[in-house]
Amino acid sequence: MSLRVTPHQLLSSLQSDLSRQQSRAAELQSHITSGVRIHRPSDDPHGQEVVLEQRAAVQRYETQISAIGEARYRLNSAQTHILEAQDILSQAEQIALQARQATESIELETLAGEIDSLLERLVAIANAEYAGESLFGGTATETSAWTLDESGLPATYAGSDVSGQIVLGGQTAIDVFYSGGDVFGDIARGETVILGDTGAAPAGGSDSARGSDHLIVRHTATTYAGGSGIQPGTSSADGDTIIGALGTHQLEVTDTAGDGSAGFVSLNGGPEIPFTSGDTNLEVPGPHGEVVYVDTTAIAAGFSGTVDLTADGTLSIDGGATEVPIDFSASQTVSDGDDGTFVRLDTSGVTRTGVDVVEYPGTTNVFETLTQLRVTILNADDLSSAQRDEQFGLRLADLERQGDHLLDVIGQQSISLQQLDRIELRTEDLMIEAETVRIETETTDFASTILKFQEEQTMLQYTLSSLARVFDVSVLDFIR
Amino acid sequence: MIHLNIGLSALRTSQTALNTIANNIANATTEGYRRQEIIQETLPGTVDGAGHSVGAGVDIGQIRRLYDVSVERALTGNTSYLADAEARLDTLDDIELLLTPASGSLHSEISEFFTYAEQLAASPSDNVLRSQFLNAADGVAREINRLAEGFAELQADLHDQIESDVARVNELAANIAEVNQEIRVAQATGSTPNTLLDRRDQLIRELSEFVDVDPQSVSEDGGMVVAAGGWLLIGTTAPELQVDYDETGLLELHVNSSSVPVSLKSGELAGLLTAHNEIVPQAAADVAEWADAFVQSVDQIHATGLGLDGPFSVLNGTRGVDDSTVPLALAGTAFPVEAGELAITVTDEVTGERTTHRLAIDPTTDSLDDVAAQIDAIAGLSAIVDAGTGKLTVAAGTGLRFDFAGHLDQAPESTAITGTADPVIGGLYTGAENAQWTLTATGTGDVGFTPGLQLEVRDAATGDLITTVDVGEGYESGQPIEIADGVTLSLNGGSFNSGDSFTVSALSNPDETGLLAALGMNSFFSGTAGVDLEVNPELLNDPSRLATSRTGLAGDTSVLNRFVQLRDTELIGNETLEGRLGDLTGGAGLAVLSVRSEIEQLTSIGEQLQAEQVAVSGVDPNEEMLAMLEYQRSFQAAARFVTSVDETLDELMSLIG
Repeated sequence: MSLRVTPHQLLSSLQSDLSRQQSRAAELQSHITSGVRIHRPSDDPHGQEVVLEQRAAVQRYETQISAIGEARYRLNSAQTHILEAQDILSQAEQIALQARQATESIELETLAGEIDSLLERLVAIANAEYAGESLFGGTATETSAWTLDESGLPATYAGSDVSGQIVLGGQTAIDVFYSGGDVFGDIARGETVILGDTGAAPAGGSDSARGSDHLIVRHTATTYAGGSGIQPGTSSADGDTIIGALGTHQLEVTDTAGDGSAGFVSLNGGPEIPFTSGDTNLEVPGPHGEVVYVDTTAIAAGFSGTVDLTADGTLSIDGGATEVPIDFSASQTVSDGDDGTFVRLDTSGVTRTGVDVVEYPGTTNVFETLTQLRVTILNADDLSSAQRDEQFGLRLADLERQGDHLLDVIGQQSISLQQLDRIELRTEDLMIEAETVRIETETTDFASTILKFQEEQTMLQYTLSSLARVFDVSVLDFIR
Repeated sequence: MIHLNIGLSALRTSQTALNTIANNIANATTEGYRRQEIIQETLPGTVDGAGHSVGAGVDIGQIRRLYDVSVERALTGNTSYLADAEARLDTLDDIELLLTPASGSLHSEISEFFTYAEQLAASPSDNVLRSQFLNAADGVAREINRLAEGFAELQADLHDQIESDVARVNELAANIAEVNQEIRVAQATGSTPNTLLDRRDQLIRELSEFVDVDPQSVSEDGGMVVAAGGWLLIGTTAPELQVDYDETGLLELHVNSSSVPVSLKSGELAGLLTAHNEIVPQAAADVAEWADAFVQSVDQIHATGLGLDGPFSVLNGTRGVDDSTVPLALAGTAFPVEAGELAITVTDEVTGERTTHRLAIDPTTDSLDDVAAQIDAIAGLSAIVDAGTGKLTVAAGTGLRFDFAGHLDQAPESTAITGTADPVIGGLYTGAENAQWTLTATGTGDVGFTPGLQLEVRDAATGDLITTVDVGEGYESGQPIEIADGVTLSLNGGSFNSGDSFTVSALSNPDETGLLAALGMNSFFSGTAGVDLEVNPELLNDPSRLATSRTGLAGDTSVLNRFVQLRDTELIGNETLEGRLGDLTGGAGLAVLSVRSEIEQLTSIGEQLQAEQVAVSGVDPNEEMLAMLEYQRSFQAAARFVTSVDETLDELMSLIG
């Protein structure tokens, strides 16, 4: 049975329908005019969550791309500086090769001056900044990486040993602020080398002394095996230049007078030196320039023969401030009282006093390497020609090592830059994807929305038209 | 003369019918009016002189309302449920509006916070970014406060609305009681009080918009009205509803002075009470939970970091406890405190030597005073608790500073070394958990010299071997070698005897307890979330104090990275901060949709019921016109009959005359 419908009910129903249609049409119109279909969460709760998620993701990817840009600028800037530093080391190598062949002091001083100039440029590079931040200070970006001494040379590394990193997306860490120690510092310690004539040799193992030292081998006392009556001369302690355990050095005594009042003495087979019973400080040179001072006042009558000597001495690598007695062992530790570092020496072969140069290859930073090269060029250690040549070899090896290391750093940076490129590409792809999802979720699908809007318009027209028709006819029209 | 009476009864009946029709037409659009119709009855016949039974005419038995009681009851119930849903929808709409993402909303502010954290991590020395990061955090704090304020205002508005509705309910109840009284009087006099009954129905319908009405109350002939879950009994007198707060701050309704709260089933008041007592508090609690998780995490990270100024000479907590003498678990801390260790590192300003002290804290037994005493016992540190505010202050002695960054100590615990080696620890710990390793020499010899001299690195807790490092021949004295997770060891010569050992501690989380955030020590924020939360003014005044690192170095972004990682950390359940916020927002939208759908369904049912109600009780003017024509003709016929009788009688009279 159909329901009885009153005009009032019909009107109410039509008004209700009209209101709903207008509401829907207004909503669709809003979607069309704003271009957005989600104005508030209830428009599409899940869609709203997706939009929020994707919007945050897009923002995050944008930040990451910006961070990648920052990292790239820094790495490129650092790489440019390191390339220049590597070029400086190459120039220094050329200068070293020239200096190795040069003999004229003026030429050597000119070359040393060029090294000074290279050093200045290198200092500027090591303390280079990007946007006010130290490029080679590790995480200590606020301060200069290297502090300079009075002569303007880098004295100590003031930065951090830890590299400053940029973390992309909270996960991938890229080194962008390299530690100056890692870039310009020492690389890998090589075998210790001793340049000199004392007979001291590296003992092996790992030393902790760095750069180079002067090993001072000093004589303290000479003793003579019993029977000959020969004794140290008055200048023996300071003047003897021999060092050695019992029997390392020998003195040949010939009593020509038969009563010990006159004869000859000879050191290590060197020239025979006549003596008398009045000599209290007779200088006896050996065949290799070694010298002992002897007292011949009490030569045993009729003694002719060989006397074994024991020549004690000390070792020091800190200018004599800290001396250790030579024990003539295969491994003796000599420490630097200034910084606590040490070197282990084989002193079993030490035969004479003197100052040797102890080189610790691979333990100098680039500035020290250049400074040492300057010393080598000017032969400030007064080395023999062969020793100087050997020292040049060490300097060139250091320069080559440093140069190779800088190339390694550049290689690492290139890898980081490539990694940044890959991450950037991936991040851009992800950003586009996220942006696409956001747009598809949040924005209006104009084609379907316009169609729906048209549909609502038509419905509205139908409703209004039927409303007019319904009230067009009434019983009143037929009552007269 | 009997014939005239018949005509007269027909005239009277038609006239009354026409009046009823006229009344129907007049009230065709009157809300609550029910169509009336007359019920005609044949008057008992009389027997004429010939013994024939002749009808006596017509009479009106009743003017009745056309009324479908089941539809009326269903419609009243529907009205009540609809009003309930609409009240809830209004509140949910408001909550949705508060949580709607827009420029400057919590959603955009938290995104800004993390964006600037990431940007700052990429350019940690950029002071402008530092300030922008702090401003973004301030924006988050402002939005948290604004939302809390919004929820409080919403509840206040709901309270006002409930008060207003209760007043209206009481007014309606009084009116119903009055109408009931009038109906009773009318019915006692034998009349049918259709208008009063319509009025009563209308009042009940209106009452059902506010509270539920028992269906039996809706009837054709009046009677007792039972509403508000059976608590409101309206006869010829009406009780009064009152609004009260319970001990938890929730609103309750009581009838007269009853102590038992009224339990409403539907109606606007039911919806408003649900909104006030459940929906708004739940939304506020969700946001508060989010805010607490955010503030606590950020504060905790910041507390264990260092600004560019490095460690502190004095630090004042920004949050206090209610009672510093009771265990922390009962002391009313801003955030819960867990059992664990708190590391405090004291740094000698001259030598740079750092010494870390690890305090064991158990919140079930240790009070804040106990914690202060533990800190006070550390050489060079003093700690006091302000008795008035319950806030902790820690100060370092002259030449000393302290921090909670848990940076590695350079000198490990080395009492078990019998040789001359002096280990130095360095690097930056990158592990995710606090760790402690024991390093044991496997042989006797000199560092950097003796072949095969090694140190075994073992987990101090489990004894598991982590790694073995060579420190004999080949090891370059003084050079750092990594022992685990970025931590390095260097030995500058010296010797080990077999079995010599030392312990290295590395902290990933220097404060396992969460005490620093709870007390606002070196905190990022100050104040209480939702009340007066703000970025610590000291940071805003001096952005260099922003803790971005664990070392105090500008390029160290370890703490900034933790801020960045916070974005992906599942802080609330298994959700991230942004995920949870999105969930709350989506949830608010979903709740609106759900109730909107409920309303659509109720509206649809209501429209159907309305149609059914109108089908019975509604006035159709066309229909009335036709009835009017019918009664008009009837009236004319009766009048013609009377005229005929009159003419007939005239004829008779003329015969007499």
